[in-house]
Amino acid sequence: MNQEKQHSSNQSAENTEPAETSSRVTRHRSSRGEHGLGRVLFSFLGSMEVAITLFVVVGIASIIGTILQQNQAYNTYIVKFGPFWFEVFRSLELFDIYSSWWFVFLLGFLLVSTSVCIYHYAPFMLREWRQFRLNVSEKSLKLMHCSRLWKTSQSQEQAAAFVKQKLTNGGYSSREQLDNGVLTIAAKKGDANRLGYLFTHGAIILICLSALYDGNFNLKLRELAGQLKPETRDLLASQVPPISRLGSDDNHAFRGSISLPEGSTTNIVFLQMRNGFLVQELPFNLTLHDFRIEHYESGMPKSFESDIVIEDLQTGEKISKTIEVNHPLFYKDFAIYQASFDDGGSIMDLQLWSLENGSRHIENFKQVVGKSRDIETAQGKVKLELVEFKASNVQPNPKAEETGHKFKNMGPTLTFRIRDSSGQAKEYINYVLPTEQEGRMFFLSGVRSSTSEPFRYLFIPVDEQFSLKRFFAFRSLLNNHAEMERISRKTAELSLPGDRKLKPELVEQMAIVMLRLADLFNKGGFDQVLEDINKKVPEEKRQTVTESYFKVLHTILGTVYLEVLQQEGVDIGNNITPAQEQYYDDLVNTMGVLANYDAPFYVQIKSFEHKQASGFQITRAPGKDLVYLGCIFLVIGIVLMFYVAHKRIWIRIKPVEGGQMNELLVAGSGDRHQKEFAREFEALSELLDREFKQDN
Amino acid sequence: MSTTTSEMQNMFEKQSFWRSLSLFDWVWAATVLLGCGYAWNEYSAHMDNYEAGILLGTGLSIIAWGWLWKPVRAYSIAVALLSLFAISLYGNNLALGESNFFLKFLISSKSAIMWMSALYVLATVAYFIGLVTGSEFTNKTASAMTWSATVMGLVGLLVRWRESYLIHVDVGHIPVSNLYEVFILFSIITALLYLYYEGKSKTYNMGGFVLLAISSAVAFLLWYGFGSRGASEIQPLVPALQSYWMKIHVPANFVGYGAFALAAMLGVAYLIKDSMLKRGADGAIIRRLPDLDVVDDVMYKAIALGFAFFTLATILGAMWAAEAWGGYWSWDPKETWALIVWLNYAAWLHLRLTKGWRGRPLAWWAVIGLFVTLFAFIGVNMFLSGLHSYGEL
Repeated sequence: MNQEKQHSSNQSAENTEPAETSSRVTRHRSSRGEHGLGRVLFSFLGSMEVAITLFVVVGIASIIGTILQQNQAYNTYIVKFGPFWFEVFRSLELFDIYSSWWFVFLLGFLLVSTSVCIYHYAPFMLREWRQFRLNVSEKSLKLMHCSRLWKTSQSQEQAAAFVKQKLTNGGYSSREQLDNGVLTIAAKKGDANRLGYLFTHGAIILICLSALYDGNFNLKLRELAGQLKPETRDLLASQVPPISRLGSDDNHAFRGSISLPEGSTTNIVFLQMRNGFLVQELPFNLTLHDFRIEHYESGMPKSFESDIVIEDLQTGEKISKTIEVNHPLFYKDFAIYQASFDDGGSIMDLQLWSLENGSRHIENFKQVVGKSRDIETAQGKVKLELVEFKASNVQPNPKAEETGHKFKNMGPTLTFRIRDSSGQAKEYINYVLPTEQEGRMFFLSGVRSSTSEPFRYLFIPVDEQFSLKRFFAFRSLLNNHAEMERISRKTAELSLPGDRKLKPELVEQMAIVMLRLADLFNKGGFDQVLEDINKKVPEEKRQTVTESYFKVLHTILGTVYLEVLQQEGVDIGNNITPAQEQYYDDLVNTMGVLANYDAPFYVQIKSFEHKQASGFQITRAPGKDLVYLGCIFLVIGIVLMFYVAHKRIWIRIKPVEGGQMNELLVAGSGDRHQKEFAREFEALSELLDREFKQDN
Repeated sequence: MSTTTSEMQNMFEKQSFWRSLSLFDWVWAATVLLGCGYAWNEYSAHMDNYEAGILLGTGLSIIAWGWLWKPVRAYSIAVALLSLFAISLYGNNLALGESNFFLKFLISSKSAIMWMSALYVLATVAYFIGLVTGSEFTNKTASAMTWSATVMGLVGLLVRWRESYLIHVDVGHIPVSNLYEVFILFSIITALLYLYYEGKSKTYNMGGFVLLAISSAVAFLLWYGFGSRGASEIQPLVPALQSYWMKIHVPANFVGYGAFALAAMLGVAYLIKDSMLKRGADGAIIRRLPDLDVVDDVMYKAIALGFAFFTLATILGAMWAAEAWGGYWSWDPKETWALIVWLNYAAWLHLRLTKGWRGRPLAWWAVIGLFVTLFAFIGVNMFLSGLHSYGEL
């Protein structure tokens, strides 16, 4: 019961504390002589309501920037939101919200509010920290909820000495003052709590100002003044006009990026600004010697490393270092980070095998990754765009159990697009090396119509030389009309041995059927043959016709295959090997689905020269150390505010009963830790009870 | 009350902190230092200066922690013994985890986490039974189960740390790198914070509410870690995470998250009791719920602690970002949401400390604050893309 009462009294006391504080502050403020509108504005800016409102508004504004992806290409936004909303969002600067005028203004407002707050409270906090408040009145001591009286026959000095001893034990420091025979001892502890306020709020100001200094605010101002204009065209760095360039001494803080191919040197970085960029010159040359990616067994990247050299343009000083993620190079107030990687212009030695009807065309050339090239086809010009070259492709190993390796490297791949004259493109991924499937080797090529689809793969079997020659020789023979006429006649004669002389027109007819079937198969695979049957043959006869047609088709295709083998110089004698037979099956299967692959040519990568580029982020942030200093202040301040309790105790020793006795008035307050203080006060009371018991 | 007074009485008597330490306290300190010395002796060749600093700092912090909150000594010793036992059983053979009895059923990382999960859920139920029946025995059982779960959770993490090295030296890393691992961390930190306040305020009746939050985390953990995703498998670290900063940034963050979760659940308890009292309801259960101002006070203390750690964690994160991403602040979604969480609790603290707000509005605010925190913690990984995408759902 007693305890509960104490709690409720504590609570009301805690509530009155801030009011006390603010009244003192008001007094103080008026003494500085601000009047009228200025004063109203001033107290508005420093008010807690404004601060809380700003917290909430800044919070909500920040959310927008996390939901709407920032700093994308403007086209992406137009596609996403349509031209109307794009324009609305752009004018509100929502695509780069954190450096928009209004967001910076909000932060500035918060800064002003905090500064005004410090201006108001700092003098009071400093006084609270330093002063012991000796001239407190008896009346106000009696009004404190931790307040009690004792009487003692001990002398004033004796009683004071005892009390002071106990206060020192309890960690209090004290001052005393004798006024008209009344001795006042004022003690306090945990006064650093008051400094916590200054530390935290000062830290916020320091952090915000330093961060603002490091931000791109100065560039925005210069843009407004017409001294700068972001370049939006796709230009080479050397062609960028001076209005979009910044000299190495022109800009004290920036964050830029650059992609540097192996073996090359630069002394600029690009600063992104909305939908354009600026060229920032550096006071040093940066050379990339080598870029390496290490992988875990699963193919996941383990490290990205760049061997770089920087050479100071003024002093000629050279520094070599290997930088990697988490280990940047710091030079003066610049920092060079490993940020990304890219293809640095790998050269692909390609061979195109035409897949068009009737065409036996083969083309050889070299092309750089990232570039495109026009290719003539029967359907007109198409563009071959090389998108990406990957040096390795690690995938889960289907034979993990047998081999003991969970993963398997499928070797390098080239991703490219073939874009037709109308702008439509299909994406392909070709493996450089043949891969094993069920004990046989195939070249794999994936195709898809959009990047959201998975690839569908074509498997092209390789011959004994691990080459595509036999496959394309077969196709080429099918495309050769004169040869095919000869072969089909020969096959027809061979397949109808007894009828050759009796019914020449039957042989002729068979030859025509064979030629037509082979042609249909060549154009559209088995599907085309079936479609033809469905079109021409009544339903009840279809089954038998299909069976015999396929038999005939296989006979002619088999003969073509044997011709191909003979051309190669393979000695087939009377029998072909099982491997050669298997190859025939794979060949026919692949030919049968080639129509679905839907490409004018097959791209074979004969060899390649891999060249990588390393993406660097180069920054200059002179305010960084001040931000860190601010952070240290912030942490110190928070600890002081929450974990150092500010407590005060006063003891007034007044002679009573004509100096026979002394009366002790003991009172105190625990600020934000009333509950703890009440217990402390009780502990002190017990000691005082024991000491002065006999006198009460 | 009498014990508190006598503790306090010492305050004004001549005394020093050092003399108040018992023999066990000194044995404790010596044990921790010996452990650190052993680690230094064994692994110093693989440590850089920062990691040496982290080792020393961790040792000293654990000693101080055990001196200021005595149950920590027994807790740490139990965790250490079980973990060392598991590690010695493993030797250099990870496959023993499937065949050794103790490992398979008790203290391999996965089994320990399973035990932790089961015990937290049981403890939640037990706390609520204790609240309804008022049985002291049930309450103590619930508390003991929470302690055991917390032991198993930390053992699970420590053994997992070792297991990662047993997979391959390259793969080895402190297990705070994906959502599965940090959810375990979250559960044990929230539980420890709760157990601290349970001991201090000497009431068991907030337990059910707090453990409800932990049980939800456990439910998520089981779904996420052991469902079809297989997130409980140990994965190697991407280059950006290979840094000593991870060892301090992530745990500091989770003290913050844990404390905010604790505050929110106390907010729920506060609102329930307050609404019932307002409706004039009066029963044994309501009376058993702790006093409103005790709940209010612990809620404040939890938020203050959470705020301090969250601030520290965000600063450490900024310093890490300055080494890994090229700037201490990039307005990455995770950073931005950390700022939002920070502003939210800064507003809460201003309202309480300066405006003198108490009770219902702040309890509501703490509950809503948990959702803001949860979004920063999981939502960002789920819905937004950015530099922090280490544990997508």
